Amino acid sequence: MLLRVVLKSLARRRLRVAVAALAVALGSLLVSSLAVLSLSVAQQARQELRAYGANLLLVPQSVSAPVGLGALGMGTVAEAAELPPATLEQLASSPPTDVIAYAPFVYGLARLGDGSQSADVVVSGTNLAQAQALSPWWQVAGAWPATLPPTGPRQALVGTDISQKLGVAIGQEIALSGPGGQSSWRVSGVLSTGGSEDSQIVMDLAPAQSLLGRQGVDLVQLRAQGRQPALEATARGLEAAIPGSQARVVRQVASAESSVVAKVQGLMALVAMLVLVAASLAVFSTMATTVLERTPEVGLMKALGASPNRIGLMFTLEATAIGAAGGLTGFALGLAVAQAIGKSVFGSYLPASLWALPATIAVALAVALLASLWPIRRAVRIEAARILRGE
Amino acid sequence: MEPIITAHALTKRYNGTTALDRVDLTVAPGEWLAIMGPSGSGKTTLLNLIGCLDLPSEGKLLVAGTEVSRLSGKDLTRFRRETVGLVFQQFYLVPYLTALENVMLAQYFHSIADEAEARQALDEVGLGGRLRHLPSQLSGGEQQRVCIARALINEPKLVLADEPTGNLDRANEDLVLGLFKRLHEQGHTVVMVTHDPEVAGLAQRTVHLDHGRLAEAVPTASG
Repeated sequence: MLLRVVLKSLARRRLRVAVAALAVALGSLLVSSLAVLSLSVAQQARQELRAYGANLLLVPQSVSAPVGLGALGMGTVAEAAELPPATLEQLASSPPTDVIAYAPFVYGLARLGDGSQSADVVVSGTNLAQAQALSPWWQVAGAWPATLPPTGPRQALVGTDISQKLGVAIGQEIALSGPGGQSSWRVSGVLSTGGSEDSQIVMDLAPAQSLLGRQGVDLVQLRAQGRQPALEATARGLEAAIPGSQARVVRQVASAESSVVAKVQGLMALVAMLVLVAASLAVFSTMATTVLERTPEVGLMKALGASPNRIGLMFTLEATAIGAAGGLTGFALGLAVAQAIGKSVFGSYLPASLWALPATIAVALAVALLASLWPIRRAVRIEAARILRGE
Repeated sequence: MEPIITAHALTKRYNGTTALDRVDLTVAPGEWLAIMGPSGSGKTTLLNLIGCLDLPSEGKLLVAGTEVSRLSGKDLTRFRRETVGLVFQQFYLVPYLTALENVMLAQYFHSIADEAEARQALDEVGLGGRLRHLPSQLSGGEQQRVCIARALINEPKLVLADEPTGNLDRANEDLVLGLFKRLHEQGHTVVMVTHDPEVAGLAQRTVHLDHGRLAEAVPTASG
């Protein structure tokens, strides 16, 4: 009987109830779409932030030894070391599970040109394909070097600063001489990274090692998944797996990730909260007006013997119906909105999370019930005698 | 036989104004009592106190052997739904429920809604063909008959009516008063507030209230 009364009462005031449910639906829409977006944005943002490059560096453990004469200590001397070729073989054969991308680097000084026109330049050798994957923001005007050009000399990239200062152009053939010998190179493109590479000549690892007379590499840049603690664990794992190496977390990138994601989530939560407050006000207004309008009806019910609990239950059921209807509608619309945003911003549909539906319904019900507390309390306190006296 | 209503020095004040002033009254089981008096004389206040809708400020009130003036709000509600049937002047009905559902609502608040019983109650007041009509689709007389069916559905010991014919035309007034006569003949105790001496004439006894005080008790022709 109570359910029949509630349903008929809602049906009678369907327009007002629909407006209140719509307000809750709008709030729920934002909550559900923001919930899906917040989670996905966090994931997407991490992926996007991965474009900021390496968050781990693998470097050789520096060998140091105390220097002194008898009891007179004269400090320590450190010997520059390199990561042996076995390091790369090991990384290639059994890469750590958390590592998404990595690239080895060898650096050295070489002489560009000959005679009075020559200048010292830093040569950087790397696996170009791996470097490109690790640092997708690298811009190349011209073309990436072909690994094995069909004819002519090997190819290299020239940093944009060198290109401008020394007037080296795309397609130009340059001579480089280093500790390993002298060789000719064709400039396939001009590299612009916004970093130190702009002042370097970048080429494939093996010819660079040959030019610089080196066997190993100076460092390996790695991009690993996870936040700071996970990165530390990965670093320790690398050190254990590769003897003679030392892994360091690039803290700025790792903390920037956490900070950006936290800020995005905080902003979304703030917007959702404000919208929910607005929805609460709409439900409050509807329920308060309803109780006011139905005061004679409540007085009659009390005169007929309805207990305050039953009156409270009746209005609570009405508020629950508004909350549930708004929550369900909001969830469905929110999911659609989140997908539309996901498609337009990230270019892919966002994964629906299992907890979004119950969470959205719970929030909608909480909004509807909390906003109805005062009107319900008022309804429960209506005195039959005062109403029947016409007060 | 023990009176069904015993009021002793019954007093009710609202914000310092005395609506009912030391009223002494007894009503025997099966009696039809009419309460008359000008507007503001305290008729409805007395009826609300007897109907357990309100508590007296002072005095003692016994209804069906229970001292209702000492009951808490919760007990008062339970006592009211089990003992009293109420009929109002303004045919208070829930506007979005049908005639049948309005009667069933009183059953629900009392115990369990029973559609067959509610149907029979409406049949008895001549509304067997108007069960599914909303109050807005019923005439004033029909609405008041729904109220009477609703007041009687839980078989109360006491039927209280506040100007039950006040808003009805002559034909409907006769119809409704005919129902009260039948109730009285069946042994129900009826306490009716009225302005109309003709209506009061149907009661066994009439009491007059003036400025909250009981003026006199007059046995009527039917008494």
